[in-house]
Amino acid sequence: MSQALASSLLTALVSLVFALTILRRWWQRRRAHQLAWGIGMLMYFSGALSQVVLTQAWSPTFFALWYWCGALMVAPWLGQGTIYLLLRRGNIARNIQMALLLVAVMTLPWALWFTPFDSSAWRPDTDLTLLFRDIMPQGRGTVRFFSPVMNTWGTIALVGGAIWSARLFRRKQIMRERVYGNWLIAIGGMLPALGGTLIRLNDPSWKYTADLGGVVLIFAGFLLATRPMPQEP
Amino acid sequence: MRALTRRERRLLVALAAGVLLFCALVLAANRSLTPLFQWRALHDQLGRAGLGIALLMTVQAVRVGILRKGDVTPLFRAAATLIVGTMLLQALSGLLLYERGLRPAQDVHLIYGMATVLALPFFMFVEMTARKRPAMGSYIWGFALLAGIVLRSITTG
Repeated sequence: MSQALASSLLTALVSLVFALTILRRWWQRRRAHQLAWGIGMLMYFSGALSQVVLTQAWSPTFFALWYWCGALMVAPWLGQGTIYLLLRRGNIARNIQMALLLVAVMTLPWALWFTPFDSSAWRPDTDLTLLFRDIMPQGRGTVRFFSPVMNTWGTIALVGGAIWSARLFRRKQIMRERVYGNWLIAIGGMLPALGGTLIRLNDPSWKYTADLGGVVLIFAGFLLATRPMPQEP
Repeated sequence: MRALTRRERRLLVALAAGVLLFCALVLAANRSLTPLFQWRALHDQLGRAGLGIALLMTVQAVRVGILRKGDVTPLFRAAATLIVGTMLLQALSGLLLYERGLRPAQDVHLIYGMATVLALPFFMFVEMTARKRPAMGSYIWGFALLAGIVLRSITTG
């Protein structure tokens, strides 16, 4: 089993468990931030699952899904969850949600049907981050334009929100688990973004490991930050 | 929210008639062309008018929402609905052109065309279901995004 396949399978498994955990909580409590995170984690899972398929066989549909989920949707949906938590007053969070939905509705058919792919660049058992620039060259008619905008926005919201929350709890000297949990979420949120930045700097070797490390750390941080507080005697 | 007053209703009817008159004038001005190219002229001119209207409405939403801290009036909402209808007409005329064989310069024009119809209803939904008032911010988002999308539609069409 290649390293690309193994890390993709693990990432898919962890993100699926995480998505189901959050969505079950959303089903019980109906909080908007939980739904946004749940959708974000489902996107993470879909991206990793597409990666698994694409290490074995070429499929334009799974490639489009891989790019749409992984490069365009994961970060802003996870960031949206944090925005819902931090901006409870007014309608700002819901308006940002609508802008995100609009971009999602626009970019999915664009990635699926209107972006030209060069399938001859694909090779089995190879890290997709080494290939995607050849499969989908930058230029007219691709959705690659949206990627830096969406990822920067999503990462700032997720990581910035987690750091802000961690500092808030630390300053108030309360709920130490939430301080640690939020720091883990911040580091986990930065890892995939760091992997993406390294791709831009022509070092794609860390991307899959960063994706796996990111989801594990965010999951751990989420479990720690949402652990029920012990009852006062 | 209160219902439209009689004066506002008249103003709205005048606005709707203005849209129809605009369409008739564009078709009449291009009567020397074949019907297909008359439709194309209408599609082009509606796009340009849409951009201007979206920019005007953004300025108005900023003026009412941010400078005056005011809320959405029934007339403003009705005008936004009328603009959604105009965008729908615009998209349908584009579909007709596509079906008759006139293709845009870039395929993504179709995506932007779809987005011009969807942009406002997404934000109108937020405004209409908002528990916190005033909620003019939704229209600032909606019209600013609509202006950007229409601009991209024009440059890819």
